[in-house]
Amino acid sequence: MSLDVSRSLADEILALAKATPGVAGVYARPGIGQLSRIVREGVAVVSGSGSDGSVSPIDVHVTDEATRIEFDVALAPGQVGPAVARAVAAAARTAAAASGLPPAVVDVRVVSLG
Amino acid sequence: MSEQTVTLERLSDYLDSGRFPYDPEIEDVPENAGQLAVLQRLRSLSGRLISDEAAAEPEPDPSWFSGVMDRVRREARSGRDIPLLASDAFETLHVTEGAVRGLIREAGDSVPGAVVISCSIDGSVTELGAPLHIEVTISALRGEFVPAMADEVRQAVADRLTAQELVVETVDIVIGDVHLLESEASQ
Repeated sequence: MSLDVSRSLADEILALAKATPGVAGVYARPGIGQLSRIVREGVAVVSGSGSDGSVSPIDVHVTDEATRIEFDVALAPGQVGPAVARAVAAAARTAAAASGLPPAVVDVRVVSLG
Repeated sequence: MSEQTVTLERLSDYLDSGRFPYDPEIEDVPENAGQLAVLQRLRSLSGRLISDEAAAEPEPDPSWFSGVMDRVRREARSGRDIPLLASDAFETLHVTEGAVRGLIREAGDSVPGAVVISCSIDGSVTELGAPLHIEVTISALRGEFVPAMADEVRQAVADRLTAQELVVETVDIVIGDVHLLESEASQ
């Protein structure tokens, strides 16, 4: 799969996540997971840079079998975390399905509940 | 996220400046933003609150606040991931222990006369739907009927967590110390 497609998907998911009611912020998942994938498989399979050259918080990792999407969200006060997380994940999967990439497996973590 | 944690002094200076200019390293990092919110809540009490042990002192005991903030900083770390119910097997959803602790603090601090000193989450935290055991240590305002306050904190914490689809089995409240309002202490 081309890097452009996964970059474009990351940008689209970021926009969708930010637009989901109750989401206050979208963040990259910290840790060694992303770094180890870059080392193991090369930068080309990891969506990092957005169209403006900035690093996207949405990690899109494409294999032959699946499109793995991973990111963190912070919620606005008073939100029901699981409901918002499900809505964000559903939006990400819908976007991935429309991209023509392999089926999406989405991992969303809530890092702040307002 | 902990590698992005900023110092307490920087958080304090940022509040002093009225959160201007906007500091993305604080505002855009949930761990730091959570600490900022707690610091702001504590400051709102600082003009009125002094620790019981410091009642004879003219100024609030700064060690009490720094002690609470030390706990806040430790507890703000992401910690374990607590699973949330997903729509299907192609989704993995979770909430960090740090986010839940932040919610517990907010719930406890919302009860008049109570200030959350620390909180802990026990149980099979990383198993979906596992019952959680919560312990919240609070500082209680002297003169309040402590059992009623503890009940109120317990209910507030349970309500907030249950609303997040978490299974709460117990919420234990520990009264860590008693504090006075400054106006009372000066009388």
